[in-house]
Amino acid sequence: MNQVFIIVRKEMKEIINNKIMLILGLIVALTFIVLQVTVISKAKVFTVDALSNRVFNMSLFMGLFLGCVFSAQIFLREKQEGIIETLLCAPVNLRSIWLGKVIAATILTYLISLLSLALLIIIINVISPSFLFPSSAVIFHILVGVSVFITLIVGLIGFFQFLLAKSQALMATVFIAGGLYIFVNEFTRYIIGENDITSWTGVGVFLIICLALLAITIYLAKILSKEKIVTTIP
Amino acid sequence: MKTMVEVQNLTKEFNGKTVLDRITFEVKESEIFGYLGPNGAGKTTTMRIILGLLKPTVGKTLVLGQNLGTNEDLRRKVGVLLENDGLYGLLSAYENLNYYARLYGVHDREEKIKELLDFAGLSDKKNDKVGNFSKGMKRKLALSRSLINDPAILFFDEPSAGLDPEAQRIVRELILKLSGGGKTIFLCSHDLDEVQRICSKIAILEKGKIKAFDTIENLREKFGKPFVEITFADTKEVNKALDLINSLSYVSECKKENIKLEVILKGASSSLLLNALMKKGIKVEEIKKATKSLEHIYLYILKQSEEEI
Repeated sequence: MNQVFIIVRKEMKEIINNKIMLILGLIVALTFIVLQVTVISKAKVFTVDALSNRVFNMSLFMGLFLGCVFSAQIFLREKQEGIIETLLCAPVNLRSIWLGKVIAATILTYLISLLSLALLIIIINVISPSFLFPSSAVIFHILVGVSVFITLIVGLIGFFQFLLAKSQALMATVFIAGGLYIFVNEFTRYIIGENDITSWTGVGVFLIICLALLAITIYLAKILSKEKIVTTIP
Repeated sequence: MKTMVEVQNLTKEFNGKTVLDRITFEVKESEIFGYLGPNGAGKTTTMRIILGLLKPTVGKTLVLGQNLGTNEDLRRKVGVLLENDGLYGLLSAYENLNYYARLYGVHDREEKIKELLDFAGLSDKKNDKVGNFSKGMKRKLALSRSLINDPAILFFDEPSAGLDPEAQRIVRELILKLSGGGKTIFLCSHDLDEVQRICSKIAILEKGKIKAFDTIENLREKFGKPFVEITFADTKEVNKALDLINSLSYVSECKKENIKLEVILKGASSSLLLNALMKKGIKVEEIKKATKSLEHIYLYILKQSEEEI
């Protein structure tokens, strides 16, 4: 486990040192905040339900976009530059490397998402005539469901980026990101119904689907091998 | 002497294509072993299999008697410097070394990092981002990185590729210094001059097969006998000399190279040959004894293997 945290620390340090990546993350976050605020202020429906819905949607979009951006930096770059080959020669197993990278990308994505959601709630309260706060189910979703969803996205993208060559990995990233969002979100809405997505049942079903998919991803990570990574280095 | 690397009957196939064909060799303790071959010969594939990054189709590779692919702990005794430096451009020189030191579980980390930064001559740049370093500085830092765990054996893939002559000399000196300190070095290289200067034993690989495996001295003895190189004023003189030399009983082989002749003698001295030429009035510009360089031997072996095909 110690080695996993060594990798987490190094990955986070690298992203923090990467100004372009941080600016990109900030732009994505601000774009989402502006879009959500515009939608709410145009509809002029300042209710807990409306806010909860916006927060629910934004948390997923943010997780999705930032997860993709940070995964590209953490998994793809190291492989494209060939640095991964030296790392694979170190006394650390492949699952620890994958896990360390997943945790680092998840923490960064989650922290920026959390700050953006907090900012969204603050801005909406500034323009709203009354004080609004998301429902307790949505707060639970932000604290637990979103972190699991981000881990799932980052883990799956990281898995395919390790497994495939560059062009295939990029295509896989697009399909996973889009497909995963549609599948998880739409499937939950289909089971629960459009209006109950932010209810405890909706949040719970969403979490169960994400956990099931995450378990599959962790299982899939077992088939990764050093040979698969090395033979797909450009 | 202890065997550090053993490669036994190693065969590797990719999608049905054989890239390594029944390779067998071994590297002994404190040797600088040069692994030579043209592009695509299978050098990097061999090294990747030894390092446990690829699995062999047939055969086995052992490092210190164990399989590096299945023994994570054994990796602590191995250092690698691959074609890629394995350094993170967004981290400083210190952070790069610290990262690998932690992964390898180095105990006296700070002391070791300081020692290696001194070794690479980068102590004053320790907090600078590696992305801003020159290629030579990166290579020196990568060399230091490969030593972070104080390995018993080092695998170097083209350690001085892309470096200017001065940086190449520094890297060569560092390798010799390491070997002098008892480290075993497995060196993949295209640079025959570098190999000739530092390696004690070499293997020549071509199209996945070992064509030669011996010490440079033995290969010289086998493939590159000493010869006499005679330079003439013009081609007319060369042709006259060629007819004469071919008729001499103490000449074993004579080869023409523009206005030069390379003559292998059967034990006779070069002065005897010079006298014979002068008696016939052939003007000799220069005459000297020479031995085949590793480049000659390498090209000769490759040419021989092409002829066999």
